[in-house]
Amino acid sequence: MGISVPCMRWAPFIWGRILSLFTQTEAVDLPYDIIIDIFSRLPAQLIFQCCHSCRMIRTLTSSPTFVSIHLKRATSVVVIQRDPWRKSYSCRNGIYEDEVPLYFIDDKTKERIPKNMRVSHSCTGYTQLTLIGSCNGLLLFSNHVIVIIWNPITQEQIIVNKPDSVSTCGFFFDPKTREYIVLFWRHVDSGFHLMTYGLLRHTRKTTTLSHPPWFDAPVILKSTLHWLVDNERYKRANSRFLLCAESIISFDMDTETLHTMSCPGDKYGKRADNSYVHLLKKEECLCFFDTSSYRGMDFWVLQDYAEEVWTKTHVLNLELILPCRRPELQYIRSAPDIDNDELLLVWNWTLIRLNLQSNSLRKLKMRKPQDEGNIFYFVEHRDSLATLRTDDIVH
Amino acid sequence: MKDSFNPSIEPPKKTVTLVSSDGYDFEVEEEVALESQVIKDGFEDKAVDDREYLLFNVHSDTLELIIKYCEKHVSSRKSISAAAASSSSSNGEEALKEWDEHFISVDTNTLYDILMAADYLNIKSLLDLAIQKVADTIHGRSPEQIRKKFNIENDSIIDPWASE
Repeated sequence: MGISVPCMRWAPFIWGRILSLFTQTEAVDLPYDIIIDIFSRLPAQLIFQCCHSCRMIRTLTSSPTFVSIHLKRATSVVVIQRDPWRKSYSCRNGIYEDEVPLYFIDDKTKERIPKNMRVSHSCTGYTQLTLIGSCNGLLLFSNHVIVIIWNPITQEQIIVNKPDSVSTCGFFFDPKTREYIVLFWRHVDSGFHLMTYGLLRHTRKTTTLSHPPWFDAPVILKSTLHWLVDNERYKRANSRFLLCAESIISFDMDTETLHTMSCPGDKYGKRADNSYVHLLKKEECLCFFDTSSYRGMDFWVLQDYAEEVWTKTHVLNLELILPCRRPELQYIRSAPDIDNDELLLVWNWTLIRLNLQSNSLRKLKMRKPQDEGNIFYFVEHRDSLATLRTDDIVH
Repeated sequence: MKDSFNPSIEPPKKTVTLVSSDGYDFEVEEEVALESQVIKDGFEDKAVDDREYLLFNVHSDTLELIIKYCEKHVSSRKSISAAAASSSSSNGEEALKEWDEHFISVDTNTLYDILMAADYLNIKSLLDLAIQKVADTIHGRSPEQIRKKFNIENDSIIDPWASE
């Protein structure tokens, strides 16, 4: 791994030193719950390194409860994959060796850590991997033939061969079966199919899908996943336009049923165009962000989920604060989660945080595109010690 | 006089006696002592004239700090809610945070004593503050700073990575 945080190699000593200092003072040890509490506030990378050298720390920090507490406390970082079109793999004797370059950017500490994901896999038709989503500290990648779930801290990795001609549309942790489920969809003669694959029990299920989702990772609220519907594919398959009333598709994990929902506003008439809109999550509410005009980007919040009542809460204008030389529409991409009223956007190949309240922005510090490539795929992510041996995970 | 604006007459402050492990008595106001969940839990059952607590695990040096912390938190909570009631702007919470930060900037032994006392007395906000301080002390420092902080001699510890 290409990272070096100098104090990490000291951590086991320091810990030993703290313990010995503490035991000297009163001949009592720190209670375990306090040690766990201290560790749950440390970076996952540091804990992982300590685990190698201290059995006590390994035992304390490998419990599902600890992983869960730690994950809740972890601060989010932005993971970006730059220039995903630049070939990063090679093939020898049918085995593909890949090193996917990624950058982990911490807004608060201004740290920017490059990390490569190594893949070695034997298959045919391997293509460039793209970063799709993040869940519980695990990252999801997909190409034409495989999906990979990877924990960048523990380097644990699972490769799943994709069924024929499917698109990957996210993954989630199913608390019921206590395993991670990968979701695919595919076009069939009669319409679309949504397919779920359980990583632990290798269960496969297929459900008929009326509306195809976009490739983006779903927005997960409670136990329901939400995607925008891909209006172009829908039109091609059904020979009719997608309507606003059916422009969001949701999948209930508990009941494994699919529903469609309405997007806000009637600005667009009855016909829906999802090309420049995004689904987001803010304080456990579904949000809808319309970036079709950077002079007036509407931000909506779904106030009443059951009745599908949307309220426009903000109108953002990028024109003055982020002037663009080109007059035509720029493609804006957005990460699904909102922290502290700040949207994370890629606009004009720059990663920015846009404040909803003040309509002000902050550019995230990083190298120029000519040095490291354009940013295209990015997710908000929390480093964790979550393992893919998913029977260990609690929620 | 300022008090004449307030029609309710303030009752005389009730006090509680806290006894440290080395035998010193500390007389504190009731609401200050009630910052401790342990004291609060059995408080109502105790007779009014028997409100004395023997804290076997807390040394007088530490107890003094703990009382200082509780007094500060009780008083700033009052001023914050008073400011909120009169809808005047106040940076009370900010100031308290700063005060906390200063309060917890102590040497490792004192930090440990505070941590143990906060755990024993179950003062959640103080425990949280102390734990965060320990966590901050462990990470985010250069090896040189950590060596200084914990008095680690440069050559007294075997460094398994030294040969790398």
